[in-house]
Amino acid sequence: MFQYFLKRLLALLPKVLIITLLVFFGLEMIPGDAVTRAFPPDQLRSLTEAQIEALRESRGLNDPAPVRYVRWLGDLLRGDMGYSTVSGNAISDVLKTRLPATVELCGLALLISSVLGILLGCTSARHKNSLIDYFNTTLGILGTSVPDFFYGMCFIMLFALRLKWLPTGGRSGVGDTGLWGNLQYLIMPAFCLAIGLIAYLMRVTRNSMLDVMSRDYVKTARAKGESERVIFYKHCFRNGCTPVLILLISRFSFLVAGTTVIETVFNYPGMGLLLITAITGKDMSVAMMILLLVSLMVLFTSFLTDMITALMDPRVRFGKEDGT
Amino acid sequence: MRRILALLLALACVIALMAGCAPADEGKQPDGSTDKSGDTAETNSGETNETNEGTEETDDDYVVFPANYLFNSTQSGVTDTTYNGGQNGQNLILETLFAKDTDTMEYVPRLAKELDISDDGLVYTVTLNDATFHDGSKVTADDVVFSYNYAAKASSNSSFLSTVVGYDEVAAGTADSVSGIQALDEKTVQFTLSTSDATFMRPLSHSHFSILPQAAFEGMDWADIRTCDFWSHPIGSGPYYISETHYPDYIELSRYDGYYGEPAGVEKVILRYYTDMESVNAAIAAGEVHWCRDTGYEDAINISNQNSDVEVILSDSLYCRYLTVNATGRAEDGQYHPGMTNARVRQALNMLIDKQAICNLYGESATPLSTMVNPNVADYNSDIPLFERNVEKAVEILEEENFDFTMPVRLYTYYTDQVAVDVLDIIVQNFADGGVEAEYYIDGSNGAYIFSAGNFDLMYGAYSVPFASDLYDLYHDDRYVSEDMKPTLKERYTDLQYQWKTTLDPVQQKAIVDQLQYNGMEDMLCIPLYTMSSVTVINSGHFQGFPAHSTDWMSMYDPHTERWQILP
Repeated sequence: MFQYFLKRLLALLPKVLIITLLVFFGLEMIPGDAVTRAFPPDQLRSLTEAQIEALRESRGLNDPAPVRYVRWLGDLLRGDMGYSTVSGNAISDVLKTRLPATVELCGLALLISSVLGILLGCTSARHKNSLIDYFNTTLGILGTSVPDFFYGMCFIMLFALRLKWLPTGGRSGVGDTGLWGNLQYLIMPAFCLAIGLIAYLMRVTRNSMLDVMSRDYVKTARAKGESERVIFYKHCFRNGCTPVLILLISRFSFLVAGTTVIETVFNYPGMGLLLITAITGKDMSVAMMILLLVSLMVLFTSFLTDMITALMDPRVRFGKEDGT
Repeated sequence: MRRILALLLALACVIALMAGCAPADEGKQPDGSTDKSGDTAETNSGETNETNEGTEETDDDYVVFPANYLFNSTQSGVTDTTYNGGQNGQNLILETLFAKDTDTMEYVPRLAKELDISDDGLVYTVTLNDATFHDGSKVTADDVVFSYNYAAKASSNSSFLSTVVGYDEVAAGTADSVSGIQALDEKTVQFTLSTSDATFMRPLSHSHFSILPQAAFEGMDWADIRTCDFWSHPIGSGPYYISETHYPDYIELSRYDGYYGEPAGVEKVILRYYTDMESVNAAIAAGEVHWCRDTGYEDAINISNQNSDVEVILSDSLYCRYLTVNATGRAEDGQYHPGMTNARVRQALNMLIDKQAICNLYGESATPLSTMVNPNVADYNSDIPLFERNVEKAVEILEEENFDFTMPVRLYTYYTDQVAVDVLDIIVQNFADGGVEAEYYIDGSNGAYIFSAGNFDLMYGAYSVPFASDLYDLYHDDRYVSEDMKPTLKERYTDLQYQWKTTLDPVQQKAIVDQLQYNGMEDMLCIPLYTMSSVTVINSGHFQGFPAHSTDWMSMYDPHTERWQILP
């Protein structure tokens, strides 16, 4: 297992380096130069050209690109992401206020999608080719084909404007703190974010359960006289849902990447909304850092998925994928 | 076992959903609802009321405003005063020396107690009120001098101080402070001007010149002020102070008990950040936001239809939309229509436009313009008859002037919204009614190049100013007029505007503005289209007392917080 872990980790490192390289050169291509990202904009304005040149020299900003890249990488590892070229705030400080919001949102979306996706998938599998199955299939098609922002707008109109059960947007209410206070602000955006994943998981769960239900040991259990309920939940459920749970973990990063639209619709102040405001406000240094974070998150969850898969299924560790 | 776990998990989710959604006795409600936000002694007794929507609510003690322009670009603080739009909440925390009273549209003192202007109009002596900042320190003349020096160096509107002695040196970077702004004693500030200036109330009331506590920036370089920590929790002298910050979501203001004026009528104000107007509109319709000034007329009407508590208020302004004529005689791409250099042709094109049809796109909020000045305001030259479309007369003039009907007139705009497209479609159709071929193009990102290249005949744009005399600054831009026109334009506009600015006689000022409008009608270098009323929406079912009208973007307005009242 340790060898497998090392192999996967070593395979991850070049990908991380490539991403950081792309971001670094993306930043280099932004109008202006490295000095504008190293200092707040108003400090820069008060400096003369000679002072700026001296600063460039003292900070090694005139060094060759590879040297600057390594230094930038070092700063990044120490948490120094530079400054916003528009507001002058340190990017790391800004992201600290946004990341927890997005993680909360994605966490709840993951919880909702896993519970509902697996539940509906199991129901469809157990009642294959029945009305319930067809109904769930239709829901699944709607979930994958209709854009999530459309659901968002419908939910706002129904639950916020018409019924006034939930707020139209934001992250917290006046005087409300903590998860419970935030929950009413999370429900709609989390559900919208989860819809696509629910539909996907439902289909995967259904197929996985049907596959398991056709196995010989299930027939044996049936022949021994066990009830369908016991067979389904005791014998089929664990085996059928294991691959689904692994898939779920790998989807977390996609959820994070997909928050941009949902956070905009619900005015939810997370990373996705910050990305939009950074792009529209031409704050490219902030935008690039967010993209870097999201890319690294995708890589990391992919790595985590591989590890968990290897833990749960030894065949993966030993390279046997055909079940022999 | 697994089944039990799965059931427990499902039950936990259901409970969590119910806990999040259920109406709470302890104030866990969406913003804007009338539930109590906390059981403190200051809150109301918790009486319940039936709303128009039939849901049960309890009283609360705060109002919610959108404050998009107050927050900085990363919503991690408030923008500094030299960067801020000013109106959306800043005037509750920070104050200027004067403000506009929107009931009378006259300047009223705020931090200033008295103003003395010398007979020659060159010396403005301001005596301050006995005000304190939110940290308890006194507001002194030194704070005023500091604030104005900061604005002179950092504000994009620092040119409002251009008539103050010593400003030019600061603008050139050869002086660190404006010598004409002096503290005479702890409570008296003197502004010395190089020439009398009828617009000088502008820097005395503009949000960029809000009074800041000098002590908070002790030892700091000018360049560091904009991004320093002060702006994450700014201290002012206004009727409210920042009691809690919840960046990037909202900030909470509480009534400042040490305010020198009458205390505010509402205990708390929430300034919430929204990314776009659609979010604000939804929040207003849901009753979560109680006032907004930036929404469009159609949206305001829709909101009012959805929520009967919401009132829509229109107020006249000097905002105008118009067509700038490229009278330079050239376009870099060679597609210039020579008729644009002819004043009678420009007048004829003006006559072709059905301005009322354009105004109909905005409902009741737009009025056709005869000159660049709103006909509903006092500055309008009533000798100029109101515009009437006359296609026959226009065609007659064009034929007399040998207008080239075969060459299309090219319109351009940098607005990318659908209404702008509709406006241009109407103008193209109107021109076609007179046999004038026209086409338009839209480019929102290359405006600077297009302006300098002159690759248009008519440009659709907008302008907003506090003084009718300002509207004619456009004639002095080299991008739009030819060299041989400049001497005449200087005489007909620049000199008149200078006279307006330096005279203190209101009768003479009115006569000058009348003449400017008359000259504008003759020259038609800007074809006026329509003016739009400022649209304000207020949830008058939740609170009252907020000023019914708004001002131009230049001046802070007196919010009359002492009149605010949350309705039972």
